[in-house]
Amino acid sequence: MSAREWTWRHPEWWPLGFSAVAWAVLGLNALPSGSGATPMAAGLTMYCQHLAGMTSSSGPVPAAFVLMVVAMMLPASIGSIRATAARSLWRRRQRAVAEYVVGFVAVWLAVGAPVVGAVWLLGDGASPRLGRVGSALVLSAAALWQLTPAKKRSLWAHHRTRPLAPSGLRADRDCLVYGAESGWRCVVSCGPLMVAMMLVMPGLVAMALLTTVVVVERYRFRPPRRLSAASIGLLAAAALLA
Amino acid sequence: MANDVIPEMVGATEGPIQLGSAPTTASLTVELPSGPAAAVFEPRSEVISELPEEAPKVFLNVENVVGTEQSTNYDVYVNLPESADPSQSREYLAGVFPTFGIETASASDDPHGGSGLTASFDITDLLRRQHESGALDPGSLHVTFVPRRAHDGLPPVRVGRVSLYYARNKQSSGLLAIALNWLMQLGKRTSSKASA
Repeated sequence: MSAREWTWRHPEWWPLGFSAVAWAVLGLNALPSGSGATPMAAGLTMYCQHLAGMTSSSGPVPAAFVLMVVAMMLPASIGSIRATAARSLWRRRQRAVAEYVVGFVAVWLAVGAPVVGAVWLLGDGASPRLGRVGSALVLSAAALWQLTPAKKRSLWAHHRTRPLAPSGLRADRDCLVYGAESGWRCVVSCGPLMVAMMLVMPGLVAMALLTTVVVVERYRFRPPRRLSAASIGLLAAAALLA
Repeated sequence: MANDVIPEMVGATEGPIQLGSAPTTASLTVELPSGPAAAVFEPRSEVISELPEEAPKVFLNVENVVGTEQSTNYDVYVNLPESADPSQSREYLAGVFPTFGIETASASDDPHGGSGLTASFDITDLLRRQHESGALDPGSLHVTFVPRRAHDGLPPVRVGRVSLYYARNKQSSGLLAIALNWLMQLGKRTSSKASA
């Protein structure tokens, strides 16, 4: 199979590429640092300062949130991204995918902004330190959310497709709206977990585990919600015992 | 040899289509393929009549059909002339779209997600016949939905979109495919010897 044909068959290649870059950045900044803050917080502070010349009061929380959304949530949208590409005219299918991704991430940013702002204020510019009990409580709440009817309905709704106009502004609008609708369903499904992640700032391995949980429950016809709740519960227990 | 289909959309309706108790026609503009299908298809209709047996297929997709109540099934016609009686024009019939299960498929809180029903019709031979009779306009397509049991009070049905796809048969030339093809031929020879 040629490289061109591979990209024909995998229109999701470049959104996943962004996701891989986000993981790489998160991974680099998870390396141990000498500061008193968590390695990720310290590393991301240095990264943001380096990239944009921000002062230390800008903090890593917004950047970390964007990176986490791109790293953890885009892989869970592969099916919808492929559906968008398959249902578009070939000449505009990458544009359609881009519009979907923009709509998807925009909803996360819009919903996440007040939460990120609150977390930022709580932590005075860095990730707040909840302590063991606080971390365990936050993660336990995220675990319990996995078992709610709202979570179940949002997982089912993730498989929904939307008719897309073939061309013109209508096509642009439809792809953006489809991305936004998917983003909203994703927020309902994974929002509590992401809030917990922002507050607790677990290590990279835990993030990778939770991403796997998110992806598996998206693509199984009968999502293993109890398994995913148990996984998050285990993380809560680990936070309590750390 | 192993065949791999890479479908390419070449046209679709601009918006939804409401179906009721009367025949409803929707039009879609067909564009030139620019992806996988472009390697096989020449523009317009000339190539359709020259397609070999294993040539790419043309599919008509009826997508995201939703409704709140069980309705009748719909006959789907392609390029049915305006004045034609559908019941006497079966040569234009692409297939029947069944609405069984439409309420469940449309429910937003159903495990299937609420996307509605979708069906695909192979219209390669139908278009070939229309081309051979000179009735084919390759730049556009008209799709007519005719209710099989029309009556007053027929529950409304909404078609999200009608789209046209070219599906190119990609013959894999890898070593594995060559080996598989050789094994298939060997199997055919063996079984023909056994039956002789």
